[in-house]
Amino acid sequence: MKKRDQARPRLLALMVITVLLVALLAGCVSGPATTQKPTTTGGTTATATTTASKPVLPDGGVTNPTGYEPIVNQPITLTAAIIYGAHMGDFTKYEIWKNIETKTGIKLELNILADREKVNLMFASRDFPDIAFRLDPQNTSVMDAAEAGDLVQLDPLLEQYAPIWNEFFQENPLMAKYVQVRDGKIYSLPYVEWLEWNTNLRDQWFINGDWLNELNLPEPKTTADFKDYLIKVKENAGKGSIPANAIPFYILYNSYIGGQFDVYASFGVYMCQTNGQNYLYMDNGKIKSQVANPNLKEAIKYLADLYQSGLMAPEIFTDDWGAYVSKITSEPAITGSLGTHNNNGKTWWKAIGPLDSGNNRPSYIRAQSKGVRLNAFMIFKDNKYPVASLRLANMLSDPEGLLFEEFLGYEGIHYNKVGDKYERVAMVDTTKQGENLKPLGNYTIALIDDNIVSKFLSFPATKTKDTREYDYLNRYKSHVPTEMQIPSIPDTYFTSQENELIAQYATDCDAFLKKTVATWITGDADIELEWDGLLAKLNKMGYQDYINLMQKGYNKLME
Amino acid sequence: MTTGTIPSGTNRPSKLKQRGHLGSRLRKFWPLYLFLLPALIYLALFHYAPMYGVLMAFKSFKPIKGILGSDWVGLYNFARFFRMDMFRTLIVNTLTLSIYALAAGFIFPILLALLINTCVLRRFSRVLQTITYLPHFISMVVMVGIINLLFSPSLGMFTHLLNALGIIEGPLTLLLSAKAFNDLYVWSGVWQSMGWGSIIYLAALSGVDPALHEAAMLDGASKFQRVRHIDIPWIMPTMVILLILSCGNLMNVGFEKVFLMQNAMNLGVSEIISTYVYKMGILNAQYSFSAAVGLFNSVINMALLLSVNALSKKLGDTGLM
Repeated sequence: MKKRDQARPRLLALMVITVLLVALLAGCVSGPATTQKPTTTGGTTATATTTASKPVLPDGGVTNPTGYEPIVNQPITLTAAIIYGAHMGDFTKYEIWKNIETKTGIKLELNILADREKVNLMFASRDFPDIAFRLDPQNTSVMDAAEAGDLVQLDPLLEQYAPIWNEFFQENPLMAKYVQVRDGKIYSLPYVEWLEWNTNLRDQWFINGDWLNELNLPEPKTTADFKDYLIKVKENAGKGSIPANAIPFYILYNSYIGGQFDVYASFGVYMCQTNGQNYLYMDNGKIKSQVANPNLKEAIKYLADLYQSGLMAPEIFTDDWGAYVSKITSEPAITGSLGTHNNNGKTWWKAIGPLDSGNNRPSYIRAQSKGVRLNAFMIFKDNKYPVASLRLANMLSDPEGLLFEEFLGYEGIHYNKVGDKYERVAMVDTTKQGENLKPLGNYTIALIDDNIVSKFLSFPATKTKDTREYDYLNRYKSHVPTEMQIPSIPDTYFTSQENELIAQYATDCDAFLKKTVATWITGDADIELEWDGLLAKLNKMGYQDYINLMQKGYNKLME
Repeated sequence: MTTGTIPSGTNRPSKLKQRGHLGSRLRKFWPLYLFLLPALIYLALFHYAPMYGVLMAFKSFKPIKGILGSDWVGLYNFARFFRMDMFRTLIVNTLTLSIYALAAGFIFPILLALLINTCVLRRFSRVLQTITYLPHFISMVVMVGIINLLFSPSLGMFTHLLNALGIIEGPLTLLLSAKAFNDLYVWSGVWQSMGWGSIIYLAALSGVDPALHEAAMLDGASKFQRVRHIDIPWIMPTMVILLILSCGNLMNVGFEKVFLMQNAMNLGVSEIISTYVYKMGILNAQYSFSAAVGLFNSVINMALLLSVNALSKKLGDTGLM
């Protein structure tokens, strides 16, 4: 027994030593993230260029240098990552993938990433697919991947294999600047859509037209009229088509989409979302904040009045994106007014606004940034067929390829062919569309620039009432101050430390503003007492430093 | 639980004899050691080997360079965290929520176990046990969904009920109240985990010698007195061990539930270390920063665990180590 007692601690010690040795050895083994010497071009280039001296077909003889049908002379499979979109449904059911395979010989195996966290982890782990469509990654992740040689550099290949994009970047050098990383090279292609009713308008402000008619009210033109409408909705809840649990005015609080920012804009307080912040705008080349604008105080007080009068549901603070989508698409409708991109085929939504607040300021409505959605298409280093991949990207951007199927959708459902023009249908019949005949839209790559729009596209919706196109041209266009819009400033225009600071300031300041304004709206805090100290509190958190950094990045972009 | 030591002055077997002894044990009991081997390998591979990743906290991690190849920045990430405006708020919120959760979550499983144990109706106590530990299997997302459905300001079940009873008029603003956030978080957690947490105490209570209870009954002790003087002292070591382990997790307030319950109105109290690190570190791909904060958390937890263990041993000779 004594001997056993003596041996036991030694055995324990032996085991611990063994385990630690194993751990030590494991720590000494170099993992997959070993340092790679960057190539002289800063990334991986396709095999076609390295073997350019020999007249061979690219990708080891698999890819045809021209023509889309097919792109490859033997069937290949590429893994493709794409980020999930709740309103897009199940990507795997989309017809377009089958069409791509039939025409080009390229089968795409989709890897749908649930959210941005998964995307960041993919980049951090360097476990990449062959290609990626829209992922919304951090630009710094893309830059790091480019430096590591994980991305195929596209510049040398564009002229021969993606002439559409080559021409676009030559005609639009600013756009080329957007997509370049720090070494001035291109590793990804963007999504470009220059339809003014899309880029120059964020949300439409909708009112329930059926309820308005039942209540015998005219279209609200002022914020006072709007409040009257909401009061009538509340008073008549449970009568006619207005349900008993009707929500007079619904917003998704502090959200870029469907949030309260167009109410602010009606008070002449224009703001755009840029790099994580909502309260900034451009003033003759200078980035400024609306936080100290007294008209913003009036706008918040108006919202507080609506909320405290029971005209806005408390759920505006607790609902998530799913709840918001269910409310905007609910049939029958349960809300009297909301803001969203388009009416989703619901005929009772009628556009209104911007409303006159009576403060002698112009009434605005928000735009989006004209530019590009970065990193809509990337090719990763382990892709055996980078040229075929790039040719596929070109095909998806080519009017003679699959551009219109990818962007617009299908003939008879989303558009009608009238001569050479693709005439977009004003209202899509969603029953015909189903789950598999949806266009990919801004979830992949597309090139809808001014040339394409003028040459190929026709929009009868611009003449059809109650469409976004019509409402933009006839109602909102003159209220959109595009000169106050701050363009997206890619992370490439900031150093690593500046990006860290921007992330910190944006997170802290946005959270503080979100919380503070919410308490003012609910009446839990007094805006009159706290307004004057707001900017000082924000500056303590680095708000002015944040603005200065953004200005620095913007100046660099514009150089 | 203290390990035995060989008293000084005792004749120790010679090293040769010890080796022989160890060797012969290995030969004799090799199936048992082989049985132990997979667990050791698992521990080594998944718990000890990844420890080198803690270096990320001291580096400016870039995937291109890997953990070992990234630039050394020392305590920069820690200093950055400590200097943040939000630091104090995060610590206060995290500690408030976790101490509250610990205090409430610790007592109720014990009470439930004692109640079930003293219940005369066996079938009833079994049904009660099953019902109380079923919520444990509900996922956190579903749990928060239930909370939102029940307490939704205008459309919630409790809203309608309280309005119908005339207790309130209009919306129920619990979900919007910063003051109510901690209560909602903690008590929904108690409801969910109380039954599961009572299992270990019930297992301990099943070891109580029935003769003790019989003797106490003969002496005229009431049920309450028997619970107080027999059951509670019996499970005291279990309680202490679980308390020490809970203290070791004090800074690890669950991320999922807090994140899902967070909204603009309760952000002042619901922003805790894990949710902030998620927003700052994970969503913005700042992994070194996230690692530094995680390491800070772990060091605090370790210090708390050792302190509480030492205190417990001092007070009652019961401890984890």
